[in-house]
Amino acid sequence: MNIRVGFLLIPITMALGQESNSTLVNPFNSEADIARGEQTFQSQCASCHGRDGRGGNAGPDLSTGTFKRTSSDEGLFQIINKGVPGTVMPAFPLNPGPAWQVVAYIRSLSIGRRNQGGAGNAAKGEKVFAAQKCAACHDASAPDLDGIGTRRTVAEIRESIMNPQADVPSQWWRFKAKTRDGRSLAGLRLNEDTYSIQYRDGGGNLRSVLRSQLASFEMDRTSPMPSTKDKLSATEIDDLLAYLVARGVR
Amino acid sequence: MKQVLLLVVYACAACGQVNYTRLLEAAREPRNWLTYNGGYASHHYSGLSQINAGNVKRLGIDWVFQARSLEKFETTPLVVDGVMYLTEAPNNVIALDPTNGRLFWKYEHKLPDVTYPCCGKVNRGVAILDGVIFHGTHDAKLLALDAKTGRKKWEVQVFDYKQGYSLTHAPLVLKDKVIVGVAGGELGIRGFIAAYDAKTGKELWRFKVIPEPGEPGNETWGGDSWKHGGGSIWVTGSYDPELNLTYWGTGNPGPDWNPTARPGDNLYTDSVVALDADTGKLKWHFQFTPHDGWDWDAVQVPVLADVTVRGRLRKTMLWANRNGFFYTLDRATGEFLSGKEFVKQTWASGLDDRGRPLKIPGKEPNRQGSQIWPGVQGGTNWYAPSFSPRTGLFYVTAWDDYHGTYFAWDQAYEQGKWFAGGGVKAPTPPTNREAILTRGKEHGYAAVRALDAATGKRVWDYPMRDMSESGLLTTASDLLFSGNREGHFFALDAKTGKLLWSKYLGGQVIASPITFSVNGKQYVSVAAGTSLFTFTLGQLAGN
Repeated sequence: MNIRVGFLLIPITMALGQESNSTLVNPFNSEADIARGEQTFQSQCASCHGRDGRGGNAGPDLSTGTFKRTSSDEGLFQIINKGVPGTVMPAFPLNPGPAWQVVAYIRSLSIGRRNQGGAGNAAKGEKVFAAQKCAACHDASAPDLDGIGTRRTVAEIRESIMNPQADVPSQWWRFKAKTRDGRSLAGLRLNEDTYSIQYRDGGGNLRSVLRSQLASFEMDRTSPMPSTKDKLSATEIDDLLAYLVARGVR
Repeated sequence: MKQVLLLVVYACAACGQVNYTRLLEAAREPRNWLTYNGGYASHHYSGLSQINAGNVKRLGIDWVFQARSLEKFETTPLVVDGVMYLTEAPNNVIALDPTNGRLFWKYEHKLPDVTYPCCGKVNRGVAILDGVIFHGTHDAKLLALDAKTGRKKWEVQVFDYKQGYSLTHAPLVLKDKVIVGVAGGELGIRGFIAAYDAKTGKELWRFKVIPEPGEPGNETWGGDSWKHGGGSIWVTGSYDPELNLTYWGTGNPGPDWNPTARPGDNLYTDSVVALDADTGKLKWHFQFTPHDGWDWDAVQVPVLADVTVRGRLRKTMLWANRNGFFYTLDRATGEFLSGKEFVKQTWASGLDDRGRPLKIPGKEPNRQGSQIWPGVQGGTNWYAPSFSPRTGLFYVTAWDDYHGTYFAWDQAYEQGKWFAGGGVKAPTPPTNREAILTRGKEHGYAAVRALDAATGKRVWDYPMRDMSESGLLTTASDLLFSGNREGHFFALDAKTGKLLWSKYLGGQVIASPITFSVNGKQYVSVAAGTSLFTFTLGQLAGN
């Protein structure tokens, strides 16, 4: 073990023949390392990031395979060891081996990786996507589907397609309001605080309104997305899922 | 030249050093903010009244101090005779001119590469006595700095930081002593409060929050569970000079979320302890949450006020606890006088006649998750409440309709490692994570809440859209200042809760505002985001 720990202190990317990207590659990446990494994760990380790594209370979802503050294994290693300033993520001064094993485990949680190998045909799925005119909304006012296969499991995407009303996150709630001077407002709420609401109206304009100016305010918590339940065959849905899982993944 | 000399002589005669007498009578010099909690009774109340309901609309930003740190900015400054002392995370101490923000000196404490603060490299402030600034560090040292130069006079190692101990709160000074406690409740520490000689740093007494075998209270810990029992200290206590008692709120038992690993009440965690200021001996204690499974530290500021309860004027302690209940205690004896929930809670059916919670069975954390109101940050947390002797009201930052799902699992102790025994899932993060806010009902909300000090009955409420981790400040002109996670800083009418003024600062407030006066001009300061903003009347057009 000590030999391996010493090994990581050398810039091993050169040794491994990698080019321009000079970040360290995780040297603890075996199945056994992942298993040990899981043990450490459950003991040291799960309180905040959840037992399944999909986010808890304090910590974000770590299962997407993409991360806000880094894209490399070395970056994850550094975050574990140094923490994230300005957040509640403290430094976890693990020894290098266990820290790399946690990185390996976090990578293994990647939904994108687990979503591979479904039954559908992505090329056929793209045609289904076009025929259903999904892009009409999803290119503008509905959730961005690029990389959706790294953020959501196949089962979750299937549920969204079949039953769009099941779980509509609050950032997709639309509102209708009347101002005290009689104007009608409607749009998608983008941001808010105690005094104001920021929104995008039907024409795509970015607006703010003060709550004190509103005479009435109504939140629509439903999704405008139609269910495909009775419109698509099981095969078409599998194809669509295969397309979505692959979409925008670079 | 003669005039200049006279001015200098006058200035020094007016200032002198902050000695114990001045701290005892801090309310007599509202131009200064001499202790972290605004006086030994911790009212976060100022006798200043130049800024009032009639002119507060003219309050504008006078100057901004930008911290050279990305950490959460939890500092509450002191202002002493024309000098402001504040901390910059992790452990820098700064003296600056409070009329323009310009620095006089900066002390930079060098930390080891690895320290063990649980949830961010934060610090909350300093104390001053006889020309010396006292500051606690993440490597568990207590420092004494010369207030004029920022040079270190002495330092002591309060405990071995490698065992998970750190210091994050502003020390409390009284008589010739400096009192601090240790943080580390998520790392299996055993908390304590210790007093040091202000001149030499010599330890004078130590109170152990977790009693050892043979000491009273150890019987409330099953087996060896006391060994890593937590009970951290991370917010500054209070002092009653007449009773000679110093009061401190204690942190959660460890492991946080697995109470079955530590059978018993787990004294003196989640408690307020009243200690003899000269000896550190326990006079009385009151435990808010016996055998806690939810991480509800009693690390709130003990507010000392004399209040008429059921027709009799009592020396009371007012306490809105993280567990969702508001308590009025007799601070001479610890007697429970009244208690009432001040936010939605689902874990207790009430309090018995001695103030002990009547726990509802089956609510404790488990493998599958147990959903409880309030969530892990509690009905309130460490953010300073305020008491105004003018209105007689107790003011608190409350988190309401806020829940969490609590999980428990087995965990073995390892030195320097996280020792929480479980975790929490909740839709509302404990601190601000995103710049964008689109809330649903499941997130709950925060409010500045005014309570009747004797009964806990709600008098008024100022609800906000997001949560708030801001402390409160009231003034003799019946203003209440606070901020929130949205990035607003605002003034309310302390009598009615009506909004009088607000300014968007663009960064969350995780500290308490203060007010002070220099050369007859009143200022208000608050840390928000990574900056300290200072306001005066009539500055900067457009505000």
